Amino acid sequence: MTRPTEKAKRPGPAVSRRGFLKAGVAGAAAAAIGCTPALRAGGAATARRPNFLFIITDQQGLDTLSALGCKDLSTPHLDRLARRGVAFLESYSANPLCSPARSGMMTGRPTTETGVVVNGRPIRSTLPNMGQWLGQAGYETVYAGKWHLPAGFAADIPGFNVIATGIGGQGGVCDADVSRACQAYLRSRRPGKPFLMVASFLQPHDVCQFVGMHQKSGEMVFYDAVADELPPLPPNFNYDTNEPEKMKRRRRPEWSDEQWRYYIWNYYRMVEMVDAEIGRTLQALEDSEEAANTIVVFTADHGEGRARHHLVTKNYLYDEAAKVPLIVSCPGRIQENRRDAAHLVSGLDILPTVCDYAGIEAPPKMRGRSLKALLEGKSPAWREFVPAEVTITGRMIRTPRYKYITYKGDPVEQLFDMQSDPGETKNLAPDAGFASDLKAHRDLLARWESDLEVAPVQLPPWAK
Amino acid sequence: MATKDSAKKPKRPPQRYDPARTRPLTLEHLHSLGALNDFTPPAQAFDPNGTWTNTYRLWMVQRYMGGSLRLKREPTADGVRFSVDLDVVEQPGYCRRTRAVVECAADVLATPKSWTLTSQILDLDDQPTTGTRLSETGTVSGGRVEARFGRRRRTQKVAGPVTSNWSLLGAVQRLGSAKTKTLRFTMLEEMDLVKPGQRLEFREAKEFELGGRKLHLIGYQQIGPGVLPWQYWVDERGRLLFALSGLRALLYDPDASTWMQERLDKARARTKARRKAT
Repeated sequence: MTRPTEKAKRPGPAVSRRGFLKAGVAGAAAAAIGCTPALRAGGAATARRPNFLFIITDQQGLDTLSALGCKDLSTPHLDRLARRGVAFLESYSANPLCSPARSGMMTGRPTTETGVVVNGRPIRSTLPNMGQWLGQAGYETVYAGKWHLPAGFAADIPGFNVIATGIGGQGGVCDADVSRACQAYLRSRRPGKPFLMVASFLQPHDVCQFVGMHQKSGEMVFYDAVADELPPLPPNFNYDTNEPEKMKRRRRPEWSDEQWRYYIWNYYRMVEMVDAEIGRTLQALEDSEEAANTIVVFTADHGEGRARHHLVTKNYLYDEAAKVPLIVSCPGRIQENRRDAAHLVSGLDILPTVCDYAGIEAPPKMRGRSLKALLEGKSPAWREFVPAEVTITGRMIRTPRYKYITYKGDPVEQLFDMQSDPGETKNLAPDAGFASDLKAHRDLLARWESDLEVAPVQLPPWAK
Repeated sequence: MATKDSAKKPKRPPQRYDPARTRPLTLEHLHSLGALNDFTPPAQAFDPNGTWTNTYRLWMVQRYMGGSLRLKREPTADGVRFSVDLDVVEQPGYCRRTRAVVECAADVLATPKSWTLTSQILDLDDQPTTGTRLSETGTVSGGRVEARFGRRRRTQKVAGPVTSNWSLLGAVQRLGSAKTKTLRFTMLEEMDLVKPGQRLEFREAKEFELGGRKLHLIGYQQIGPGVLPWQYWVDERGRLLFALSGLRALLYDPDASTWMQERLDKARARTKARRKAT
C-alpha cells in the first residue's frame, strides 16, 4: 500500500498547537496499526475530496422520523435530510448495544472481530478506526460527543481532535454542547484540508433513565394535559412467548397501558430534542462554504423498544432495537428524496462508503460494503443477507423475506416471515413447514461466522 | 464467537447505587436525595417586575456533573434586559460556557427583540477547544428570527407569540398566584432552536417543607414538542426557586458558580490523573 501523496495547500488554520499535537499522536497510533490508506486507482488525488459530517444519535429506532411515517412526533430537520438524500428502510445495527454498535461503525468490522462485545470495551488495537484511517489520508478529523470505546465521554480519542465530550446519561443537557461545538467549528473553519466531523449526540438515550426512574408504576409523574396526545400502543405490543430465555427478563409487566403510552410519548419528545440539535448542526453546515462538498451520514447505534413485544430499551434483535435510521445526503452526488426498501444494509457499511467517496481504499477485511452505487441509483448485485450480533451469544440473519435469531446454547430459535409478519409476532421456527428455511438461515450464519477473525475478548470476570 | 475462558464464574460486583435514577424527578425526590440540603429560602424582598439576579445550580441525575445558571433582569427604557451566564460541566472536565444578553419587550412572555451570544467549549486547561468559539447577534421581529455571525446571517420563521427559554424563567415569576390561563408560544431555546407549539399553564399550589420552614409554592408546567415537560415552582413572592425537567433541575442557589466550579475542578483532576496513569 502507498500513502496518499496529496497535501493540503493551506493547513486548516483553526487547528491549535494542542490540536495539532493530538492529531500527531493519533497519526502515530494509526501508523502503529501497520497499514495506511491508499488512494484508489483513478481516485481523488487531484479532485477536491468531499468532507464528511457523520451524525450519530443514541437509541433512535428507524421509524422515528416524521418523514419515515411516524405520526406521533415532529422531526423537521431529519425530515429535511431525508428529502435531500437516500434513506435506507432495511438498515440494521451491527449490534444493538452502544459500544458494540459504535465499534462496528467506526471499523467496518463486526463485534466478534472488534472485541467490543459488551459496553465499555476498547476496539481491538490492530483495527484502525474511521478517524485514524481518514486522518492518515489527509483529513482533518474532529469528534464531538459520545464515544464509548471504551470511555463514554472521552477527552482523548485515537485519530480525532475532541472538541466537545458530553455527559453520561444527560442527553437533554449535553447535546447542546455537541451541537454548539459543531456549529462554531463549521462556521469558523476556513477551507483547507477536507474534514471528517463526527457529531455524536446522546438523545434519545435519556429514555434509559426514564425507564429506570419509573420502575414503580405508582410513582410515574404524569401530566394530565398530554392524555389526549399519547401515542397508541404498537400492533405488536403482544408477542409470541416462544422466545429464548434471554428475552424473558426484560419486560415491564407492572405498567398499565396508559403508562406504556406515556413512556412512548416521552421517548418521542427526546427524539424531537435531538432533532433540534441536529438542525443546529446542519444549519451551520449549510451556512458554511462546505455544504456542497460535504456528505452527511446520519445513523444511530441502536433502536428502542417502544412497547413493541412489551419491551423497553435495547440489547436484543427484534427490529425495534436492531433497525436504525441510515440516511446519506449530498445533493448533486447522491440521489435525493429516495427511500430504499430493497437493499439490506448495515452499520458496517458506513466506513467502506466513506472511504469510497474519499477516494481511498478501505481498511483491510471490511465486512461491510460501500453503499456508493446504491446512493447514486445504480443496481449492483447486492448481499443476500445482513447479519447482526448481540452480547456474546446472540446472532441474527436477516434475508429479504425472513429473520432468524438464535442465542448460542439456547434451544429456542426464532424465525419470522418479515413480509407477512413485520412485527415479528409469530415464531415459525418450531413449524415443520419452515424447517428448510430455518436450516438455510442456520447455514448462512455458520458461513458468515466461519469467515470471522475472532478477537480475544477481555471481559470482566463476572461477565464471562 | 468471542473466546472466553471457563474459569469459575465470580459474582458481579454490586452496582453503585444511585437513588436518583430509581424514581422520577420531583421536589420530594430531590429532597429525599439530599439535593436540597444546602437550600436556604431567600429572605430578602423580591420584585419580579424589577431588577433581580437569580442563580441556580444545574443539578443532574448524574452524581458528579453539574452546572450553573445566572440570570439577571434589568428594566430598560423600552423593555427589559436579561443577562445570562451558563456553565455546563462535561464529563471529563470540559466545560461549555455561554454568555448572552437578551433585550426583551416588557410583556407577559418577555418577548425577545434582540440578543448577543458567545459560546465556547473549554478543555481540561480551561482553554477553548479547536474552533469552538462562537459569537453571534440576532433579532426577533415580524415573525422572523435572524441570527448574524461574521458576515453571514440566517433567518428562521416563527409563528405566534415568542419567548426564549431564558426569558421564560423570568416570565413564570410574573404570572401571579391565580390559576392563570394557558399561555401558548414558540420558544427559542438558546435563541436559535425554534420550538413551536409550547404551552405554559398552572399545575398546582402546595406547601413544601424545607429546613423547618414551610414554603408556599405555586407550580406551572410547560409542555410542547421538543421538550420534556418542565415544572416551574415559584414562592409566594414570585421568585423562581426550582425548575425540573426530565433528568435535570435548576435549584436556586446564590453560590451556584462555586458549586459548579468544584465539580469542574474535580472532573478535570480525575481526568488528568487518569491521563498521567496511562
